[in-house]
Amino acid sequence: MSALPFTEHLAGAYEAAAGSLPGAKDADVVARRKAAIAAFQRLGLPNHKLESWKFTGLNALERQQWTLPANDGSVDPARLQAAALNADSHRLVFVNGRFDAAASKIGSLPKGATLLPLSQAAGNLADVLAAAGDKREISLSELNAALASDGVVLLLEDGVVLDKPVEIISFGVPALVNLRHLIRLGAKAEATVLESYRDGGASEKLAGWTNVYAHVAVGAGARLAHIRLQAESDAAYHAALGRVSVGAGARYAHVSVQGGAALARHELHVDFAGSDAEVDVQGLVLAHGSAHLDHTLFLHHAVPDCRSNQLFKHVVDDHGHAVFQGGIRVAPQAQKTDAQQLSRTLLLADRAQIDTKPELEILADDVKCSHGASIGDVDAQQLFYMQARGIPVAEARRLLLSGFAYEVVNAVPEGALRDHVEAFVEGWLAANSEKGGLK
Amino acid sequence: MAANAQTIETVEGLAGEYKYGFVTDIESELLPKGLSEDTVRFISAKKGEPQWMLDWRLRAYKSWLRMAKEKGEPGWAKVSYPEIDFQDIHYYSAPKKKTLKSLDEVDPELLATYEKLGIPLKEREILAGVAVDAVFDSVSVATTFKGKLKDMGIIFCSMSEAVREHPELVQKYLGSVVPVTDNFYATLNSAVFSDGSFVYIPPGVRCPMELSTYFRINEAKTGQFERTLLICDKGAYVSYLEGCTAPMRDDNQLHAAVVELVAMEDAEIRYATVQNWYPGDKNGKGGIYNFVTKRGACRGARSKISWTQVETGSAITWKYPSVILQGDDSVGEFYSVAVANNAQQADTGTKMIHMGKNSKSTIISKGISAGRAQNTYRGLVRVMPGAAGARNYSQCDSLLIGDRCGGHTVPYIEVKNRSAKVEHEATTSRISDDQLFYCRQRGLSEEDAVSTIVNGFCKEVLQKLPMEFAVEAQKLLGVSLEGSVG
Repeated sequence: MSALPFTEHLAGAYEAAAGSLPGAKDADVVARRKAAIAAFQRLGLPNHKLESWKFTGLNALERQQWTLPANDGSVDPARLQAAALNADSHRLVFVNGRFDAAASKIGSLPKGATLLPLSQAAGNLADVLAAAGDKREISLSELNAALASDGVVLLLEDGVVLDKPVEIISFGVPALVNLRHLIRLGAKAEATVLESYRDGGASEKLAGWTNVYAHVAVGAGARLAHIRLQAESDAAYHAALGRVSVGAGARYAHVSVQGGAALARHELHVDFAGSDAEVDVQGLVLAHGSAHLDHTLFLHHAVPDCRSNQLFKHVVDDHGHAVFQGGIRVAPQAQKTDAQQLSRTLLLADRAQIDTKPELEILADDVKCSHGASIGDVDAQQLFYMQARGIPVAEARRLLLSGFAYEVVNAVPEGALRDHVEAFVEGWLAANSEKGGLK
Repeated sequence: MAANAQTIETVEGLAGEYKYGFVTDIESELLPKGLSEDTVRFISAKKGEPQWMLDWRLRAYKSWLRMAKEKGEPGWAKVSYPEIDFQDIHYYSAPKKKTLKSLDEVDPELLATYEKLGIPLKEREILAGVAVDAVFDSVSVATTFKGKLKDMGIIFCSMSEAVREHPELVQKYLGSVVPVTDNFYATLNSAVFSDGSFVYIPPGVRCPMELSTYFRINEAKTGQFERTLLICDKGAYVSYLEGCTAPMRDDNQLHAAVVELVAMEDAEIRYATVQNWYPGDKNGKGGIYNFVTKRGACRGARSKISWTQVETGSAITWKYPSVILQGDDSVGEFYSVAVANNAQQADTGTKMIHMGKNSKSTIISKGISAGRAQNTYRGLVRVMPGAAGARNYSQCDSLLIGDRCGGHTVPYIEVKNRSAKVEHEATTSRISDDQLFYCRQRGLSEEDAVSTIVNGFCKEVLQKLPMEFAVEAQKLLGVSLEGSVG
């Protein structure tokens, strides 16, 4: 192992790969990527000393010398079948961080809709690679901008409605994969997007690192249901940052399920750009082994008359460690804001742990804001109730856990999508129960 | 107690000017400004302290120098103020207050405030700095009480006296809850603390009266770096009151106090604070910076520590009374009302560290912001792996009055034990027009209506205050918020 510092090593990886990244011939894109890698080198990885990274450290990432994945690769059909939605969809599959045309099925799109892999969206590259901000807290998004090898560009013009869900599936590989998405809905447009991050199965032992950045803009009166399923291999690292702006009268519903990876963080920043908008963010964490799974949110109510709701549930087993940080800021002018937040946790093992930090910053007076948190084991009375009715204790526990998780699963749009997410959650619970966990 | 327009004006006038808050016409023995090793040695020598105490202070001073160089003042709290020049502060003054001969010489506006708060006449004299005459000699009263306490084996004296008379206790417990290097201000306090109270309750003794700093009100002022140490031995009980509801005159802008509580097996400590120091004028000019470290350790099984605080004064409040629940079945409580009006900033909360089995804690925090004030609740509940069966309930509510103030909540919850049960609830709201209308319709003035609603909002905390404090605190809330509506 060479002794190069982490950031320099990655800068080297960028130099080596620069020629083969999308937009390598476009001088503006190259300049932007160079600036991004320089910014990452300057800022460095976020660490414990930053308030928003207090509970999650990235030392494990620093210990490895990351390589970028090979340019080709394909996915085992059985694995794809298992990961894909059991319904018609606009499907984009990424293997090794590259668009896999053979496995994908974009299908026909209505007029005014654009859906492309980033590698084929030359005209949108500069837009997609735009910086999220110059802060150490989000420096991984600059690393992502420099190294992004692919991603999804979804653009809907005003009033365009996508009937079928857009399905994005990425298979993790033992390398550093950078995907960058741009989702932009015009006024009154409607879409449903499912992002799945799956175990590529190339090597069970080697860890991969998937680094995702998504920019989402929901136009006035538009509706976007955005579901995220993080089901990477238990050895993998996963870091995702989402930047969402929500226009007047729009609705953004996000469900994030994390049930894989050794270390994962999904950070979501939501800005209210127009009044009367509604945001519903729900999350479910299923942590076993020594998984460290983090959800960090910042909801910025900058305009009046908006509503937001957050519900996060955590099931933590073994040595698992769940983190929930939910920031809400209500600006002085954002009167009539209604912001609710609830975090609930079940700790199922002696060494399981949870750190939660809701953070409410309220500068307007005519608001309704509340947050709550509860932490404990499965309720003994509920268990007793079920046992008294002849249900074996293991099954009773699993039923209670299903019920606990179902509240979040229920936020996924009905039909094939919800079935898909539910199947994953039930599968996780069944597998852990069989292994002798969840006690 | 209807507030007529005139009294409101009077009090507003007070809030605006409060000229009796900062009298400087004091004859006192001042040490020149600045902080150095010599300052520490001077303070120690002035108090006739033994060598070990001086060494302790010097160790703290060295740590503080290192902290100041490496990190400076802590910057994480949600408060903003110009950087403090620690060399521009007097670290020692033996005050000889210029005393007034009678209440007739006291400013009538100040008297009106006392009247509103319902403070007994004699106490008014003391608070206003009038020389206490033979009729009410608190020294003799205090002496009577002290005699009684002494018979029971209770030690209640100033810190300086304790260092001289009870070195074994001070050496054993001082800095054992708040270590010398705990944080920037605590370390500064350890180096230069002026004085404070020392209390020791022997095993099995139930202290027969509320111990209060009132007793020592006309002894030498404790100054800006107050140090309190309270030890409650096995099975003992004590209730301690600190501060008072009346606006306090004070000449020092920076206050960095440290309070340490130790509760042994089956002991119970109740510690109540009412703080109403000068908050600065309407634009936040002047006013006290109150950077306090308060911490209690429940060392023994079934011990209990309860903090109750009503914080209405100070330009900046930075205060987190905490409990370390080491003993099994130990109990920690925190009841707080923090009011911030005009340009005040308050960043306050608590820490409950659960280590013992079945330890329990309750946190009730009520934050009220008005004017352009910023009020933050910042709390930590940590359940360590060994704290099986730990239980916490937290509730923090914010009330906003006016559209230019802020109410913030930052609770940290860290749980490492599955059998722990932790619950947290928080709400933010304002006084609704409906509530105001309802009260107004029944003939209450707007000010009285606000006062009534606010008192209802804080009821759960005010109930925890000792009787005599509770009545005054209720009135205090009303006075603190006058002029904030409409």
